[in-house]
Amino acid sequence: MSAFKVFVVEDDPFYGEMLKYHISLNPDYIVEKYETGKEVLNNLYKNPSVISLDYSLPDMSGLEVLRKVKENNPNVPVIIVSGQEDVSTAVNLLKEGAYDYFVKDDETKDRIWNALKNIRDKEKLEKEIDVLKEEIGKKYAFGNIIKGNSPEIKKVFTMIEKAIGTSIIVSITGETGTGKDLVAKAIHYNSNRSRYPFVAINVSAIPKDLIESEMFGFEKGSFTGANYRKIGKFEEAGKGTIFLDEIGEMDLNMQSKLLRVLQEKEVTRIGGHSLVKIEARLVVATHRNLAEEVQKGRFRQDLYYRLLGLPIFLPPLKERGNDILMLARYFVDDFCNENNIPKKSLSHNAQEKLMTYSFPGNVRELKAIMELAAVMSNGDLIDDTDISFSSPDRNTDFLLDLDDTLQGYTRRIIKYNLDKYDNNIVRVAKKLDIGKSTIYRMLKNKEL
Amino acid sequence: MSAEKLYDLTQLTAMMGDSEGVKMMLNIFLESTPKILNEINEGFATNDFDVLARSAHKLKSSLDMMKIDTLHTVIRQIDRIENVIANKDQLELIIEKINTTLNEVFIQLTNEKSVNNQV
Repeated sequence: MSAFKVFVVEDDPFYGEMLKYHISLNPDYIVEKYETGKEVLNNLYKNPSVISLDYSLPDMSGLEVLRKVKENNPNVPVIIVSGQEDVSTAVNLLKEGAYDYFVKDDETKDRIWNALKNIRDKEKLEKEIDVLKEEIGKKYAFGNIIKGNSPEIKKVFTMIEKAIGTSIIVSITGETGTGKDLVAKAIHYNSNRSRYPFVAINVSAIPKDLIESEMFGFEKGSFTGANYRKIGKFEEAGKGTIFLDEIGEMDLNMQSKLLRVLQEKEVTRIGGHSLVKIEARLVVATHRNLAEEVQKGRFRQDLYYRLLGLPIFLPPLKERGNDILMLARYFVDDFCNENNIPKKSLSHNAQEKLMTYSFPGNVRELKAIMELAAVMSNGDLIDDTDISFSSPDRNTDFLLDLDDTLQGYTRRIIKYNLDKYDNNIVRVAKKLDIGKSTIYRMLKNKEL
Repeated sequence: MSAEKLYDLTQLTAMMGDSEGVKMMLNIFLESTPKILNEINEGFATNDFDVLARSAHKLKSSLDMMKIDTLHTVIRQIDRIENVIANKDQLELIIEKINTTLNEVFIQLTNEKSVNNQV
């Protein structure tokens, strides 16, 4: 952490020296003393962490110095120390941006001491927040969150890049588990809004009656139980990004309210009269086909067009070819790293097993499967037997894949049932009404 | 002038925390205050009320810290230009009071310092 530099500006050499001495008792503080306004203004280039400023200086008033300091750097806290007990002067200075106003008395030193401690703690917290924001930014850097080389995912990368450079509304569609929320975060944390909040609302997770107050806030007393004023998510997002997940689940009444907000770019808290300007960028996501929802009368057409903006479609994992194996390896490596276990690779059979599965839960499901596989495997190799699919609709999609031979179908059906019955050959043979030897032969010939 | 001590170092001692700090501050007081007193006198002599008020204001917090109570009200009669104007008729008396009190304080402090140094 850099030095905490305190400027003491005081024309009384005695009082100034006393403050300097007292503040210097904290070895973390570096104190510099100045006797005139001009002197302190000439030394602002040294970037003080805080300025203790006497209100009456020989060459200019504390107010003039305060204004010039704030012009130079609005973030530097200025504590006014004055010999005058004048409430209106104090209020005026606080309005002008002074951090605090102390009258010179017996308690001045303790007040200054506490103020410096509070300012330093706040500075530490702000730095921590900056570091964390930077880390989050890195975490959500493109390459770190969306992995893949398939042409389908490369199209997504292109669209994200286009979204980052502008403030256009982004609508993300894709099956559950494809990473819609990650794309929304990637857009936010790689855009120039990353310093501001990313506020997410899962529309389907909030009861219908609460969604309006959650989104737009409410005033104290606006309804029974409104015991305090609540800021809505749109306001909370400020100049950041508001992410409305599962927008397709929003009811028609709320849709019309959202449309009005998007048109006016203003919200009114429930029970309130004043308008609050909306500056946040909107990103929406849904697993539904909104165009179909419009046709069925479940989604407003005008809102649909308003939200369309830049559409980003996330392909299902089963359509991303070799990305499946790339992601599988990534999840295993990541899991092994996190749990301090030796790195594991995927056997040929394991790879084949993964490539024939339909992944109805998409990337989210693959992650869970690979983490379990890493736990189940005993050596440094993950075999197909370590991989178990838990999805309710398992890999039955292959039956619809007509581009296969009868032998291919037979192999898949047997493999599917072996997975289903934990490789119990006797049971599978009985279920499919074939001989056990057929299965043993196929296994021996590595056909399964 | 009475031999009664015109200052009280309790507050300064509490502020500084140790005798070294107090000693340092007393040296600063004995060095800087005569200069400010001189500015007050010059301001009075030349009818420069602005200089007079600014110098008095500068002195105010030092006097409070040293708890020179006899000057508590007096210094506030001339610490702002409007106060100087309001007390214009009594200026001579006020300046005289400040001079005599502070000169006595300088003597008492110097004596106290030399006694402490001997110990």
